Amino acid sequence: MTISTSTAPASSVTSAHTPFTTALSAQKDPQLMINLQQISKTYRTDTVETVALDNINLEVPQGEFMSIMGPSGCGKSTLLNIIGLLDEPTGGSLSLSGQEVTRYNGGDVAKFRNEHLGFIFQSFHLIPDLNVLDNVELPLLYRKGVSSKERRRKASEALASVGLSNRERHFPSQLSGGQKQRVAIARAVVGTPEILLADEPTGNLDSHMGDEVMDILLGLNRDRGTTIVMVTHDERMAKKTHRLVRLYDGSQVA
Amino acid sequence: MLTQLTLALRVLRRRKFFTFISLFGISFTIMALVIVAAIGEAALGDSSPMGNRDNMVVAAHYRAEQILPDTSYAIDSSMIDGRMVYDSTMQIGENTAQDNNSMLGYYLYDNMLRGLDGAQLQSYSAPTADFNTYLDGRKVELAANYTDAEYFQVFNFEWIAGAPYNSTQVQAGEQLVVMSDDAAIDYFGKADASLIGEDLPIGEKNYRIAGLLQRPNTQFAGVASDIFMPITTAGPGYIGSVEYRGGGLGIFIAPTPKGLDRIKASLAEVAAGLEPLPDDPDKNRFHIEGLTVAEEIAASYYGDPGINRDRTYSKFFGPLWVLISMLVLLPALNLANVNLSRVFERAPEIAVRKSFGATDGDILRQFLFETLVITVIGGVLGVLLSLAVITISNQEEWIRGVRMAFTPEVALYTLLIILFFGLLTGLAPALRLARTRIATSLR
Repeated sequence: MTISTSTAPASSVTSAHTPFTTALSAQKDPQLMINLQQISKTYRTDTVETVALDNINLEVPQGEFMSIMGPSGCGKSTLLNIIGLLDEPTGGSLSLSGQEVTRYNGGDVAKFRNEHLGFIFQSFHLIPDLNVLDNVELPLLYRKGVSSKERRRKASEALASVGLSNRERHFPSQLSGGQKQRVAIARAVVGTPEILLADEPTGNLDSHMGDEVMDILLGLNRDRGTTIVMVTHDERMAKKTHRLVRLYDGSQVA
Repeated sequence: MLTQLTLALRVLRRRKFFTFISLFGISFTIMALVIVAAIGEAALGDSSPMGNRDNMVVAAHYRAEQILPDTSYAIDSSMIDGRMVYDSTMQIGENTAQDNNSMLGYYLYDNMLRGLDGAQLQSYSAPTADFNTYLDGRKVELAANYTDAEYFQVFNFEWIAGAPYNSTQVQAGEQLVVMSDDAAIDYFGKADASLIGEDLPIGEKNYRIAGLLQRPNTQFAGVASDIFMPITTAGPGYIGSVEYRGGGLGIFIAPTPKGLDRIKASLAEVAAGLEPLPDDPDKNRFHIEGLTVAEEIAASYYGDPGINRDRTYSKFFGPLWVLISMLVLLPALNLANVNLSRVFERAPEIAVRKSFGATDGDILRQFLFETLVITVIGGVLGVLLSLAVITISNQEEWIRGVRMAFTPEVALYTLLIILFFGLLTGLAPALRLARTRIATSLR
């Protein structure tokens, strides 16, 4: 059996602070919300071995809004999936909210995702059979000790925070792209997660809607101190965040 | 649980086509099964008057053969040392020159089968006569059954009024009649105690009504009659003729179901010992076939029961079981197929649920619950449909002689089938969905 390495070189990381760095960076010893050490991801088939991430080291303090940019196929979505425990690294260690999560099993991972993480996807991924309120309630459905009345209340509040209180009974097919993404944001924050992971949240929106969505994310970060990691192709959006991390083909740069 | 139910109902309401296909398949199948079970229960069950069904042997088939010797010769030739050598063989066999089949005559029963070894109770019944009576210019057809007095001990009818004729009355040849409620309503317009003692003209005679019973809910020929009269009033065709063959059947009750084979063996033994009758001296071999009630009903559909009893039984019940299996399996497979195809469609949804904290167990429970909900709804619809069909069928007599009922046993079988449906069609897709890889499905 021959194993060959794909022609796509391993990814590397550079980071830069943006003009919008907040006082956060001036705080002494801010808690690290995300800590990746020597993270690597390799995809293997019978004949081909593809290295998507190689020796990534990344630290994200609490309250930081970090964006990740890079060309297509450089591993930025893979990196986001690993941070979000949606995919397992081949090597390295990962700590989130101060917890070493690399060795967590299925049930622990699901519980951690539910209590500490929120996700926003480029394609929104709202459940078409459920109305807006049911979609927003979703994370609380899997959280123990939350009554249905409490779920409804929190979901309504989350929808109000994104300006969609009048759309509770609508279905996703009845919403515009910008409205769908706002619902997705409400769903992601309804459980008050510490970390929000956004994979190209404005990728399917026009510039006006994209700005609206970005304003909401900035507001969440500013007002609630939510740590946000955003993958984006939009340099303009990335410059609004605290830090920009670029993934390049080549070696890793801390 | 309430949340799961609410969400499951919302999903079903949104996916109208899938829901319709699934509900149609489930409800139609459940309806068909309930009706088949209701017919089966009516035809083969042990409800009144078939309380002794499990201990009962029915002798309704008599066969007489003329067996003649049949000699055959075979000559083999071979060449040995240049000379032709011949070897002849003679075989003496049998040949059936003629035969006939019929039901049992009263003479055969009365003289040869009384006190049959193995039977604790027995009776003779001749359900082969039909009469037309007229009332106010309106013709009423009555299926008649001539019986002995023991008949009403063998069969536990539900009595509305009066009582059956007893052995003394039978011996005396009293012209008494027991009527079914349906026949009474058809003829008199009512079926209550006021009819006891009334006259009913049958043929050229007047019979006095001795009792009213509930019309049997079965197609078994031995009891599915409108009127019952003493065998001694049947006339010379039954009483007085020295004939093995006739228009009746013997019913024999064993102490326990294990005694059925002994009765069957006794019948065969009696038949083997029968002598040819003077008016039919050619017939020299006789058979009397004893069948259980289920075998007898199966045989009635094929007309040639006795000699090929096992094949007849399997010819009747085999296709029935195949039909029932297909009724259950085909919609189940269709539902499983529909559910499986939805797996791919809903993979992103599952990935999203898992990304927000759903475990594999949560996913499994959700989809099993959705499947069970739709199965129960379909099952309830099927039960309602079957109740409607049963009610209309009974009112319009779609199946003559069979009054179906939705019995508790049928409801229990139906519930078990519903649950089986739900698991069968929901488990595989649910397992498949629970194992969805999140990162792959969200691309």
